[in-house]
Amino acid sequence: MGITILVFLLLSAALVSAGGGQEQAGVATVNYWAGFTGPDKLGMQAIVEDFEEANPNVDVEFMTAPWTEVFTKFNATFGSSSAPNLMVMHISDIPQFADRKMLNAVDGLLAEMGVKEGDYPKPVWQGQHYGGSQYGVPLDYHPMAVFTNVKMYNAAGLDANMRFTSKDVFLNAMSKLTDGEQYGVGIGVPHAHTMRYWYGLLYQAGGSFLNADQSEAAFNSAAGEKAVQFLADLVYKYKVAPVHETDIDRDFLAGTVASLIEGPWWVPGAAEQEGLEFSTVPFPTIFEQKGVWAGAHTLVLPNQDDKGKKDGAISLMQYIAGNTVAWGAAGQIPASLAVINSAEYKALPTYKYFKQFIEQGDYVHFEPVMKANAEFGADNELSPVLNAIYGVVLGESKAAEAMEQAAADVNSILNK
Amino acid sequence: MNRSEVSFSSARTTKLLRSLLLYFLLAVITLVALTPTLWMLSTSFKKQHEIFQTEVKWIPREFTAENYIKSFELFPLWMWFRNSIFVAVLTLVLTLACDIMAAYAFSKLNFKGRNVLFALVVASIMLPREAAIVPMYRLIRNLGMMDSWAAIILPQAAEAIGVFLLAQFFRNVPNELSESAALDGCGHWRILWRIVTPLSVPILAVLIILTLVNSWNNFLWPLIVAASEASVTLPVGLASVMSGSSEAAEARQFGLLMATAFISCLPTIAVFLVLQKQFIQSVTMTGLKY
Amino acid sequence: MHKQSSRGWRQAMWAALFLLPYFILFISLKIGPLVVNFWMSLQELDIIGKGVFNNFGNYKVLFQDRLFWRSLNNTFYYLVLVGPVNVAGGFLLAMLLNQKLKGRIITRTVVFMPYVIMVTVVGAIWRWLLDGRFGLLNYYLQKIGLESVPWLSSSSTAMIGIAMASVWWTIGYNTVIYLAALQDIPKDILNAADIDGAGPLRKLFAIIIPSVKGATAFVVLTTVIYSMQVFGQVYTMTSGGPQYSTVTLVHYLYVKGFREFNLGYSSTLGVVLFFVILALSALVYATFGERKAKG
Repeated sequence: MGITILVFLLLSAALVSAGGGQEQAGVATVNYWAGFTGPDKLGMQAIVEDFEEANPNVDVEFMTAPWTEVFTKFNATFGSSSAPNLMVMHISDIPQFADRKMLNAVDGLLAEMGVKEGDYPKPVWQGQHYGGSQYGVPLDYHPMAVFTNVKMYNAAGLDANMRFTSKDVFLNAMSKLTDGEQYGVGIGVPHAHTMRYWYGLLYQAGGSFLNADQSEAAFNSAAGEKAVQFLADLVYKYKVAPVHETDIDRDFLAGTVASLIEGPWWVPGAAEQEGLEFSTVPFPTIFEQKGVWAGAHTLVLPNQDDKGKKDGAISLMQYIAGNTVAWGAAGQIPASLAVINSAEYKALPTYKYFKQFIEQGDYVHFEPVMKANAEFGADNELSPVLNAIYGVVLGESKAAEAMEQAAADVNSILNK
Repeated sequence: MNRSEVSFSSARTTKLLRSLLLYFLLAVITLVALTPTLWMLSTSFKKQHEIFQTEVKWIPREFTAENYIKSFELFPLWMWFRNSIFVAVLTLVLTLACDIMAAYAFSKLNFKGRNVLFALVVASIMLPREAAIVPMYRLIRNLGMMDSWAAIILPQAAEAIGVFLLAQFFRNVPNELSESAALDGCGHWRILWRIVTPLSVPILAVLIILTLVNSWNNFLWPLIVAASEASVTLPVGLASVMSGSSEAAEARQFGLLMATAFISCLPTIAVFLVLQKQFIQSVTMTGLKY
Repeated sequence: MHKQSSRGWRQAMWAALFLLPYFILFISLKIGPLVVNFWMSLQELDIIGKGVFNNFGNYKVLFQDRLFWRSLNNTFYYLVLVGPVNVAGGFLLAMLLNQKLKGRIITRTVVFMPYVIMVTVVGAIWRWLLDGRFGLLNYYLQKIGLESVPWLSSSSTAMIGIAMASVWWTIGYNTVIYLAALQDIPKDILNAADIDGAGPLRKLFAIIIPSVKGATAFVVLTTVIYSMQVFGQVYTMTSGGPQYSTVTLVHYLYVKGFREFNLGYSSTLGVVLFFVILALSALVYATFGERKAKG
């Protein structure tokens, strides 16, 4: 019986070492990670499959998980054979990883990939850089815009393509749309988007997130206060947004709210919803200037040893960067200006929705491209700024105090 | 006695009322305990528009299996299941092998420091695993074992509960049997596997269930070490879909989530319903040993 | 004499052989890491690279860390919400199931079943059940005339929501243990009490509760320890929000270590967890140990 056990153990050991993925000889397996979940995941999958067909000697393992998990796992697996060979990140994520020497600079590869500076909006291009080197190849950028429910707007006597050019225009429309169980717009708590709305409003009111040399928080200003107070007022003062709104997407689909402020990735899913007639309009201009939050996805090359995989990763990177029309169809706004002005892109059936996102290109604001953003950015559930904003929108704290506390917390993070 | 003086019918009424009350309590408790599971089932068979309505209907008007189909399409459920199964079985084999041998040493062999060592092992049962995950993580990483089944299996096989339970049981196996076997020329190895182990089936059943269930439901540690599809176990895979903070559209498609949830717990529930007695025994035997 | 010592040596060798496999795992993956954790808590340690000793710097930061104290607070709050309910409730349920009632096996099954479900599924089910607008609980609350509660989206009720899910998940465990203990009480003692004319309450307090003291000690100990380690429910139901009201010690440890890459600080939190559990275990042992000595 003891022998049986031993044999069994040896077999198990063999199985154990086998578990975790096989690799074929002669074929480079590239681990490609991205935080996409939803229609953009499927869109990227399609692009990857096209690449694999065109490149039979490269096999791509495409892994998706929510963004925070992707980064957690990147940290956990870095340096091992399960680490990613190619990743998508936000430009705001580059600093923390570049700082830790986890990314390869791509300056030397740009020429052979055909990536040119002039082809991209300036803020997007600048965001790819950190500490003097460039780490990312721009993939897309995504501002917020308002999705409007055509039927509900028409029923309230409004044009679903209307422009919210001022606070009064916006509030007026929202009140008309609010009636009993129905509301004008949803402000989600907890939902990271709420911090993104605030971000846009902050800049509209003339404020700024950090000071010029990024050493101190600057949002605990009148502008920051105004911005968060406005969001809270939508819920409690003007009563055009539901209290304790947990799920803005679902409520828009269910007809509980008439407007939804989301990113362009939401377009394909919405277009597929039976019975949903919608339109998109730019993010409302509430204060003195135009301004809206935007994020940007970028392709980065993690530091890695295996040359075969690295080459595979680079050719995948090049392929994706050069084929972003399909990516645009999946719901992101391609970063390449040539692409968004191309006939092919404009011929997409969903182009009429994307147009309103692209319009805002000149006045988008990205989150600070710095290492500490990992701690106070909208992606971290424990971010002091995020939670401060929730507090005000939940009616549990006052705008001025919340902003002050958040600023103090951000400063202590910056000063570490 | 007072009782004999009470009239017959009054005693019967009290007894009846008491029974009624108890049965009522039983019914209420059963219902309340079942409700979440039933609601999960009910939701999983509904279409989106029926889920998000303010009137609650237990039986869907439009019964649909689309959530289940979509669940298999969207998520690599087969991979997650496969990984969980392999990890559970391999953990079991390793745990049994190591624990049986160690328990035998602690109960049937005499050596210096035996009691101290045993006390250390037993004490470790109550120590929180979480207080060690950072060093464990660095170790697994330095050994190049990240994102492998081994990374999940080995730490769990280090748990001491099996050694404790088996040692206690072995102690009660009469020494006469092993002594007579020794006289016949059997070495300890033979005695362990051919005599003591076959006599320990009840406690082995307990340990098997305990190990399998703990492995299957293990969450925090696999969350840290498993990354790629090839090694992500079921709870970790589900968490990436069901996480509350996830901005994914799926995190709010409750029909889909409930279907996925049900698929995931169906195997464990099925096994539990069949092996109820053993499950409950494994709990009580662990508990009452203290 | 000679025979004995050679036999002794042989036994020791066999023992070493038999203990080796388990102890390799035990030392390297159970005891070792626990010890090393103390050492790591004294360092500034990122997820990659070497650590730098920082002269108890982590502990100094910990002391002033608002969020740490909040997480400790939250964890104890969780214990207060779940502990008494799980222990007393488990006992009462076991008492009920100990009565000769038809169908009690079904109830026992149904009450225990949640325990075999994984935490991710439990979290998902309850997140849906506690939904502010479409949740089942609010629906029935409104039906009986109460107001609907925002449960997981309000900082005053989120932890209560998590506690409810946890009780549903784990009360079966305690129930089953108590049931076994109740069934172990010798019938003659209870019969004798009946003959003496003791009422149900007296029986309860004078006989039953003291008789299940061992089970109670175990149940309290495990409830306390597992409550201190609560993580999965927080991760899948609230991610620590809203407003940090559900950040627990282990959740904070995880975020600090594996989201913010601060392994040194994470180790420090692990040390705190270790000592908190040690202290509470000692407390439980002391409480129940004393009674044992007296009885």
